[in-house]
Amino acid sequence: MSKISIIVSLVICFFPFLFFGQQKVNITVQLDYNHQPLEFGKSYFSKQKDSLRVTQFKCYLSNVKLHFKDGSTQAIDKKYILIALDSAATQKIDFYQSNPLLPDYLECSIGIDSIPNTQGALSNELDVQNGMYWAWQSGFINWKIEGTSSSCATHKQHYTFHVGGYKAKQNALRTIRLPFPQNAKNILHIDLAAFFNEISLKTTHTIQIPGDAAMLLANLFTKSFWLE
Amino acid sequence: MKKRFYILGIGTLLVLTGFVVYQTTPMPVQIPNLWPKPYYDFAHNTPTVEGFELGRKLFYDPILSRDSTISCASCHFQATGFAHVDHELSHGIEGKVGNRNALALQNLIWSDNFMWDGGVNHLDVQALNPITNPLEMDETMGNVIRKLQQHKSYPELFNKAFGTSKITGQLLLKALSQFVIQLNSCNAKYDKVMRKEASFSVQEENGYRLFTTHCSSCHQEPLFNSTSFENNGLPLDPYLNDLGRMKITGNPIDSLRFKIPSLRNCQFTAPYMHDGRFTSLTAVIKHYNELTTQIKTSPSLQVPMQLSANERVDLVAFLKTLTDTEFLFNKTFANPQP
Repeated sequence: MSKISIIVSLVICFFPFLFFGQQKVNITVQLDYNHQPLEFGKSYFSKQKDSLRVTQFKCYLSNVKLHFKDGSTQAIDKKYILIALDSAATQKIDFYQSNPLLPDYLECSIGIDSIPNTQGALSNELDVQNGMYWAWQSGFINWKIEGTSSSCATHKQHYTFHVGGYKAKQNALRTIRLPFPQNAKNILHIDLAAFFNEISLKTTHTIQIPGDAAMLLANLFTKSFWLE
Repeated sequence: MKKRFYILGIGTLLVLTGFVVYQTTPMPVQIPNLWPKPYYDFAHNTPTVEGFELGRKLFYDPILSRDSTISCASCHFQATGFAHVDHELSHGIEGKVGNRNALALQNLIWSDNFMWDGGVNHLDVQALNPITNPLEMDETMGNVIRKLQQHKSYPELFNKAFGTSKITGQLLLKALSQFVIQLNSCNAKYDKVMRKEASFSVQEENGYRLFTTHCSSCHQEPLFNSTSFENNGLPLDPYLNDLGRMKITGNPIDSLRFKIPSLRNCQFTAPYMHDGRFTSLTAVIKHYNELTTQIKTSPSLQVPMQLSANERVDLVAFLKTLTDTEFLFNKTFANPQP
């Protein structure tokens, strides 16, 4: 057996053990309304007395990191994750954790940082066919929520929130830090009630451009995230 | 025996890892001497013959529109500098009319923004605009990709160009760029004069002098455009209510500012301006000749040109030296299936 054959054999044999010493941590993303799993098209109420249904939800999470009490951090390999209401496959975040300590908190950004916003056509999670890229003004939609509400005096009573913007005075990227509770179940909840409780759909129902209104919604949306 | 073992081994490994060996033919973009460095980064989309041919086929194929009736070429006709001749505003499917004049497609690798308001920041994502615009092709990228994936020849053409028959949004857009990055016009009479291969007539020479005095601060040589946005004194069309660049920046200072388009091939790119309001070069020059100070225009337009009738004719004569017939009638850019 030549040297090359030996090297190839060794790589094939030991490939599964390259992650030896690392523990796989799976964080499930759970979309909720008022602490209950969100159902497509179901009618919900907000504290603003709006009756509403959610028909579309997509959200980018990026630069997801675990922070440990010893000050170390561990980033997920995949830099950009697209969470979609209609796809269970996109609602998981996998880490290979090498630090034996329990993580202290999770840090991530809601949206896409400025660099991919100026790099043209990208692939996989950032492919334009995911419907998360504006055509008329280049840039990613960080998150979108669509649905209907009897409070909205709009065509077919639709509300539409497409929130994004990467330029200096339009930056809608938000970074959140979520503490891991004792006996964490590793479930990242996105509770839309926390968002809809803060806005009145009578007056705020259509935000689809970067700017002040989008940045305000981006601030409010951070309240929807918590770790169980 | 040993050699066969290795070939078999490597082949199996390539198949297992999903790699397919494919070979493309380089098609370097020609950059004229003394022209600025293009903005387009070829390293991220290396020009190849296979990519170009795929992009060309897509450019002329109405499959990109929702009802398969409108192609890119419907509004971008080669013989008119890939502009939309005789139409003030771009047309879409089902007879819909857009809200802006289709721009010429030429020398795009030297642009860092696209569309009249500069809303698009990269050439590769420019085509998203007409494909998804409800007044133009009104299609979704998901649907386009499904149609292309099911097409009898596209998967193989993508495989030849990009080494995979799995079509994605990224590859579709890069393929279209492969075509448009080659649409470069640099062989007009003006270019030949600059290269000392030809000379201007007296009339053209005088027109050039007038041009450099009155026009070249915005329409800068050799591309005859600039990447900034200006208010050139056009009154707002109350029907279109198009505020231009302000829609993108939200800044009132950008109200009624629009892209400064290239004047190359302007002899054939009529109608002119973002809303196609002028049908002739003479009408455009008349506008700049009689600008009023009532509209807050670009500083360089504060004083009307006030050219005489003869001077206006000379200026048009010069502008016609920007016509590049080699570009306008280059069969390489024509519909591959006329």
